[in-house]
Amino acid sequence: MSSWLFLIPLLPLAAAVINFILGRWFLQHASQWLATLAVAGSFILSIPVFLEIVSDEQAISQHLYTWIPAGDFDIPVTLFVDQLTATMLLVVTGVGLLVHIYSIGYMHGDPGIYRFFSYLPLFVFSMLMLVMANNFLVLFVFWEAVGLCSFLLIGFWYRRRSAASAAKKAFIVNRVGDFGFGIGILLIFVTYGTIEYAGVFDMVGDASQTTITVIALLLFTGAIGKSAQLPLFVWLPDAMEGPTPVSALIHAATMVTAGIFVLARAYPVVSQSADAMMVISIVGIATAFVAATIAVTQYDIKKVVAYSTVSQLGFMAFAIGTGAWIAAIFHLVTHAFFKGLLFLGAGSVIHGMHEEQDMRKMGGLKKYMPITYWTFLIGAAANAGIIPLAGFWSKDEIILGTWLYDHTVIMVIAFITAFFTSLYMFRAVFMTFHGEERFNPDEVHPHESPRIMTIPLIVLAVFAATIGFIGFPPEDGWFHHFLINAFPGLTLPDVAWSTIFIFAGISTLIALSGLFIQYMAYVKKSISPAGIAGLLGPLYKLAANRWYLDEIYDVLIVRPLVAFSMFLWRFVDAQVIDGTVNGVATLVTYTSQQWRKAQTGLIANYVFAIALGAIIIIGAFMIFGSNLFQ
Amino acid sequence: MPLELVHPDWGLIVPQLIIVGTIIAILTADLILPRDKQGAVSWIAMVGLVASLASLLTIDWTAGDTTFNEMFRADSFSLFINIVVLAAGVLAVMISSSYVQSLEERGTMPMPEYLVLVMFSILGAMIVGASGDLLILFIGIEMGSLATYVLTGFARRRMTSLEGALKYFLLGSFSSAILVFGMAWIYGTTGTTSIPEISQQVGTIMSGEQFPEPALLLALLLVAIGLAFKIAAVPFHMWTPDAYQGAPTPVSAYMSVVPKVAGFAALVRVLAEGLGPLSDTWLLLIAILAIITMFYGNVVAISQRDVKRMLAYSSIGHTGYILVGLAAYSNDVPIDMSIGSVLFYLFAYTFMNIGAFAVVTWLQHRGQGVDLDSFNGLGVRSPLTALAMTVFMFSLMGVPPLIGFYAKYYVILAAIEAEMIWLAVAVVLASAVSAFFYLRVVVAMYFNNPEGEWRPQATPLLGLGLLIMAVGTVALGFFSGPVLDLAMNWVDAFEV
Repeated sequence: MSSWLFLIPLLPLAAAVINFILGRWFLQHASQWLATLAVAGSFILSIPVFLEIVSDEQAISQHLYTWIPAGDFDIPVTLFVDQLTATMLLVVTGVGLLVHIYSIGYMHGDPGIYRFFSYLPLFVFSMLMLVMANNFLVLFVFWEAVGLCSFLLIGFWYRRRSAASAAKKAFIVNRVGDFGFGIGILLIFVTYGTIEYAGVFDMVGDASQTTITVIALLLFTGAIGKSAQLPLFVWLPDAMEGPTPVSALIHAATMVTAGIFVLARAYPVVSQSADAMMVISIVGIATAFVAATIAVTQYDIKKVVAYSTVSQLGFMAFAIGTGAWIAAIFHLVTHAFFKGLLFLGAGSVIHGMHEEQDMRKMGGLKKYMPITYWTFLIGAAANAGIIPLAGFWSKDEIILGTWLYDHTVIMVIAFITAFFTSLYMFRAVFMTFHGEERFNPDEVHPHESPRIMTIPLIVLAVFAATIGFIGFPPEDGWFHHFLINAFPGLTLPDVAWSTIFIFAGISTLIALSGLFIQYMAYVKKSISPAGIAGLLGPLYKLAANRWYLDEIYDVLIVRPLVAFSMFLWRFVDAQVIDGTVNGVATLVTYTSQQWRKAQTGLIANYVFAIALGAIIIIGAFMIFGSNLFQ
Repeated sequence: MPLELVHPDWGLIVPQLIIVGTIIAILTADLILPRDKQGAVSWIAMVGLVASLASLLTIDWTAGDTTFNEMFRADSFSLFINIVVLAAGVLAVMISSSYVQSLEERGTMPMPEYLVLVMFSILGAMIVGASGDLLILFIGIEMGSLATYVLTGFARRRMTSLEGALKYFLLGSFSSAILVFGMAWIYGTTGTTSIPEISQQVGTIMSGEQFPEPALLLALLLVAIGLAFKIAAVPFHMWTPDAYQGAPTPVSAYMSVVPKVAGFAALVRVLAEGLGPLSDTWLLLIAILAIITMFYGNVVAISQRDVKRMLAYSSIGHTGYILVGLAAYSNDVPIDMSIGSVLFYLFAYTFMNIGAFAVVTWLQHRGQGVDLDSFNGLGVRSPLTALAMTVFMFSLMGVPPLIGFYAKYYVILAAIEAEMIWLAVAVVLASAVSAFFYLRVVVAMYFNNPEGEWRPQATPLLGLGLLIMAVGTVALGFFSGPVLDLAMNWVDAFEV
């Protein structure tokens, strides 16, 4: 089977290239089927690979070719699949396939459809190569490639000004993290003399503790950008300008988890540095909390889900920081399903409401779009951590981890965040689907989405409900025993059932109380949300204004940068550089004009040039290069 | 060695024999087919070229077998030359089929005749690559050159075409004379024309000497000058702009690659293999030629408005870059990348340069001229063609990750490993100059408004050729490793 490994990334790449070249003139709508079939092929091929990993417990790799041979330093392109990668393969191709199918309905009639179905498989290809890389450089190349695809897809409707600037914002903010990431890889090469995972991981202990910490933190810097952690998460909510299926695939299920994946991949390095782990857990819990508070105050349904994504990514980060590695990846998997589901559900609502995204203009949609309602409800409940849906198992385990590894403060904040999670999730459900209808029935006629969009919703809902059982019983499930092989030296903690029950009980209580409060607020109307907001005063304003992060960046970074750019442009560029360049160009052009005069067009002159050249060369070499005249 | 008629090892010359067979097939088809059906012969030519390419697989190149009294050699070096030349042949046929048959040139251009000349020229280049003897080498060069002279003047009703052909022919004869003269001196001093034996003899003569024998030095310089003409190195380049500009555009594309490949193959065979012991002397000469050539070509290209003429000067510039690879020769196996980088560059150059000329051909089919203004607004008129041209221009400029970047990268690497940092710096500086005129084409395509009449026309084969070259320029950049590995096998070939 492993000899066919290369087909998994190749199929989406081929579809992307064909659609890009032939899409506009020849394929048009056929491009959507080509892309979907290609991703389906990748998914089908991923299954036997996964099963082989399960049965053999051995990582497989396939050397494709040597990308850059440069003396004794070369960059191989080798596909590498271990338990971690195999898990990611199924998530990326599985969710990818469902999103492709959904997009056929969602993007129906869009004039740029071939472009969409060229970028989307290109993203799948890049993401697959990212998880299958066996060295840090190839990882970095595709780390940038997924960023590029994200940029292209956020700005897919590039005529919309907000979409174009959101795409730019995502790209520029990610640059900050990628810069650190790139330096981290250089530092790895300088320290260990290789960039291949196996070589680096074997020699981790050879470097000093400080170096290891710096490397781990630099890698985490990349994750801060890509996985939208504090303080760089501001790009992710803006990225919602892209088509909703893109948000589901890239900004919920796969690309944003790349940062978490890299930390897990670099487990042998990161786990060696207690300081780095501490930083990761603090950033993670802060992100989880801040984003959750913002999510409660948002009115745009996609923004709620987006901030929820940021918050959940924070959960994964602090899980890694506290040492609950497997719980982090477990949450990554369950999150991919329920968050993908929530985005697609939100997309279905937006589609049915004629591009309306404001929840204040919705309400009572349950009877118009029942399938969307029930699947969205399952997704929301899974996210809020209602037993026995997927999110409950993974999130509970993360919080349990903070207790097991003695991080009591983080545990308390995590419980509070879990409460907020339940609040914003059910607020979205009740505001959108329950209560009175707040839209104008003359203008808007809500309708259920076509079957091609609802079927992916149902499939995802089934997974969002049941996928958690791969990790049952907690800390001792099938998934734990499978994934532990990818983390050499890690042992599964022995947890008493009583502890598990206590934590499950607290979690359930918190989730249900959130549900209850929102039910009272938006369905029974016995609690006034506006009253509570007024009661909290400045705290509410802080959250509603996204903790003023965009404003802070504007004052601290954007404006000084613009001023500095103006200086560079007006003085350094326009005068110094342009002056130099124009001077050189004038000189070269002048030389060029003079030299071309040698080309007279007369054969006699040409023969003369050859003869003269020959005589000079022979004469010079005879005099200086031989003993004839010496 | 007394002359004797031996039973040759036919298996080794199958690729060449297939080309000969194709030539006969084309000539026969010329007799049989009615005049209006002669377009079919281009398919015969392509089948022949592809069959020849496929037949390369039947030979064990690592064995380094020889036949015809060691005059003909089938080693890894000749394998690579064969691949480049045959690939260039396939691409050249693809882009010229529509041009030769259409009315872009006054008067008719008979397709079979055209293809026969192309095939002879290809055969000549293949023979040069496989030569183990100065005589065979010279025969190969002349076979290729004569065919190319005629091709240059193939648009026989157009004065510029005839003018270019005549200049090319006269100057070519002149330089061939110098080349033969040099070969005679080699024979006179070493008493043999066999390249491996020359190497031994020169080694014996040179042992313990500080300076080379003057006779030997003269032989070396004359041969180098004769071959410098074939690759269009400054100051022996004068024919290039006139010939490239005058020739029918697909011929310009073809002659910018195959004769140059043949010339470099001959240079490597004679200098690195035959006169290797004299390398201290000729490395300096090659390095000087490299510097002069790359700067002259790139600087003068700036003041050209005729794109064919600009590409002619650009090809002179590329000759300079390739010479840098040769100048890095040290025979310090296995880190010597010199000849490997030369071969890789020739391979890369085939795709991007034929591609650039193919776009000019494509424009001519649509009623456009060959000056820079013809490219105005191409990005609006035909986004894909403009994209392809952009790829070729960026690749010629050396922008990563295109194949042209890796070609320059390996040449620079070879120069650095030979401790010639100044040559590496010169390549980078010359590339910076070249950005000016390459980017000017890109600017014209995307920032200027279209002008002139536009005559839509279907040219499927040319379009397919463009697609292959554009995709090849991008994809082979990513897969440069295996190509370089293949090119680096020259080390085995030259182990004496």
